[in-house]
Amino acid sequence: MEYDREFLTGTVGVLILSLLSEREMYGYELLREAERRSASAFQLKEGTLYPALHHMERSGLLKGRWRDSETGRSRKYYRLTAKGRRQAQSKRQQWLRISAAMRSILGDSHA
Amino acid sequence: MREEIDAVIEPIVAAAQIPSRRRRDELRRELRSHFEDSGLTPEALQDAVARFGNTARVGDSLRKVYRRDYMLLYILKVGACIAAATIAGILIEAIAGLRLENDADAWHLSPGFAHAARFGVVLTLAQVAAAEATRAPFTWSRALSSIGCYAIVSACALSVNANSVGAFVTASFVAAIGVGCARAATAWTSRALLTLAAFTVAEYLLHQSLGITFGPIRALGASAILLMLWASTITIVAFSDRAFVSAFRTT
Repeated sequence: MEYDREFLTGTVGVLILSLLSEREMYGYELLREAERRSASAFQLKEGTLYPALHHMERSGLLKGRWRDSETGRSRKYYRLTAKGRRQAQSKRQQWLRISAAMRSILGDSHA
Repeated sequence: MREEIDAVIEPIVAAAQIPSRRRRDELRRELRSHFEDSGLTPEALQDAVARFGNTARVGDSLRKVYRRDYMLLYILKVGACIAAATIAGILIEAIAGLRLENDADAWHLSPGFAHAARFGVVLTLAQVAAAEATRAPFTWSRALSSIGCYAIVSACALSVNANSVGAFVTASFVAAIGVGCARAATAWTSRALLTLAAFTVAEYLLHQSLGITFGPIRALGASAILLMLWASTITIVAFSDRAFVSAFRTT
């Protein structure tokens, strides 16, 4: 599904932090995981992921390391740093508050 | 298949302008593994490229991520360029200021050496600022930053020594003449002759306006030294530019 770009601004960072708070992943895996969990409703332009990952890595939120996957192919896996975990927690709470507020507003208008 | 993937990746890596070769290689490797994960058939690659989005925009986003590194390297380049050009300028002035005493077999520097060396340093600063300001492709932000930095350095120098105002005014004037001559001629011989002629006229008129006796021959001699200073700085600027560009070469 295509979304208004304005809706998606700011979601990439939350999405990366949330998924990486569970386990370390590489770029392509993050994309597929986001797609799978949202039942394909959430499809990023894949190219937007890498600048976000590099920005977060340089900001000290993520740490990347190269390692071989089960298939033997070498990939760059990202994991959260302590700073990244704090940021993930904070972003998650903000997001939940915003979405709850939005739900109540949208729900009221439908009533 | 690798060639097709590289054709997609290389413009992104180039646009990212990452100074570190290691980081560039890592980005290349990461993007390659992304496209390989998408599938290794031409159709799969085509789909992956479509899902990837506008590669120019991705390169631009990555350039913003690494902009601080780029700026640091740029400042280092300009600093090294000024240092090298200043040393070369002082050496040229020292060679031009060497005098052999009549009554002894001893070389010494002319009394005007300190003044000439100071002017050489200021001219170097003005010339590097002019080179950065007028560099192709022209951008207003870079031009204004270069002129602004030169103005700040001038203001600092003048606050320390108010007598140096003449050196800064003359150096700015000479730098403007040099830039104008460089644009007026393409071949280096005609550019050098034109610059020499323009410097000579400027030297002569400047001294005339100040009421200092300075004939055309002396003006020509002084201009020849100015031209050497000019040429050495241009050479150093060109060399540092090449080194800077090669730092971003992706292949």
